Amino acid sequence: MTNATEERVRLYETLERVGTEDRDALGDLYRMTSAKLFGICLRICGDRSSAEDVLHEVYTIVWKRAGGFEAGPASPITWLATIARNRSIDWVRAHGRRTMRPIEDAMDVADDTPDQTVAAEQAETAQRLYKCLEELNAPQRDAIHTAFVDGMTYAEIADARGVPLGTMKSWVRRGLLQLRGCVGDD
Amino acid sequence: MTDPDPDMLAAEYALGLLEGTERASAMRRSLTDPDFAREVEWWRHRFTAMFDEYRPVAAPELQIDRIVAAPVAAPATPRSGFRWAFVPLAGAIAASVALLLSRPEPVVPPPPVAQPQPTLLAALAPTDQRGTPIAASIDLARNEVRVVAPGLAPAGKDAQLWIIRDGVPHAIGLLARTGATRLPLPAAERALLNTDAVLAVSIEPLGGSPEPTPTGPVVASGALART
Repeated sequence: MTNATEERVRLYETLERVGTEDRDALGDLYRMTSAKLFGICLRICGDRSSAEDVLHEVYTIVWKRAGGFEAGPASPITWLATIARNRSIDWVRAHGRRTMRPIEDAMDVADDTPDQTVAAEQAETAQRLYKCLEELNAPQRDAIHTAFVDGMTYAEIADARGVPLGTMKSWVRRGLLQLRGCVGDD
Repeated sequence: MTDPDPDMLAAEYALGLLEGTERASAMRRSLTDPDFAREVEWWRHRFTAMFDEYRPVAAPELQIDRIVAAPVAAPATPRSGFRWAFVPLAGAIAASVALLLSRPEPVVPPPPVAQPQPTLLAALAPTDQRGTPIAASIDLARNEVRVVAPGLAPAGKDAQLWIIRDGVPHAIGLLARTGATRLPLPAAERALLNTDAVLAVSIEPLGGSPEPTPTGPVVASGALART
């Protein structure tokens, strides 16, 4: 496996080529990133057919927008993943969620085998976030995690966990405050 | 647990927990309060670590011809009217917006139901919550933004229209002092348009903001919704 920096540079160069409307580059980009982005779409949309539609929309956006990508604080994969997450959330807010995952599944983060694309690039930030999340109590950690990974709102998480909305907000706000104190000093 | 909850609005907004009026007000604040905007960015950067939670799944075959030929990356299907939920009297406003916008151009018939190039509407609620919402629409067939908001800017100032995507404002143009304003929708905006976008009007020096973002107060804003 190539190291994270090489991977990042290669992805950046591919995006640059996509920005010049190079069709082959779009094919390369798809090979390099589609499994990752499809994983995001599938997780948030909840069903394959919606996720396929959103994935198509994501690459259409990338095709038109790659020329505007600037190497800044956001790495290429983070940029692409953000587009995929935002468009997936947009989709579920408009169409509703097809399948709600059971609580046990959402809680069962430790058993997941995440890939290391982003962590490898931002190892320190990632490690600190996870260390700090560990220090929260389980419902707080679960809610913050679910909000990001499943793209769920306060109301959706409260509903899925059978907790009053006000209680859920209170938990999460206190959790976020603690999280800020923990990760904040960098 | 009798203490009031801490104010974690920037984190909540960055994480995507908010909806309705809370989300709209956080978005407005991110435009007018640079400290708040920085805080949102700080949180976004922290949360990106969680992208690794998503396990890769083999994607379907790339349909390159469909992507390259696609005229616009608008949402694939019409949305429900749920985004109106945070605007009081949503139905009445939607109706009056439609009426107002149809007036300057009575010869154009309403688009048929199945037309693939719909019009997006927004009712821009005044920030001070007084007065009536401003009617705005984006005609995708003509790539044109229309706003009916005469007399917004005081003497020596201009009212400037922005489209906000993912929390970032992009200038569309200046509003006319009288009558309806028609502005071409920039091609870049057209390609990226989605109904998560928000239209906003700020008061700027004559000629518009000297910065890429609003420098004056945002006087009205509202989310785009499909007709």
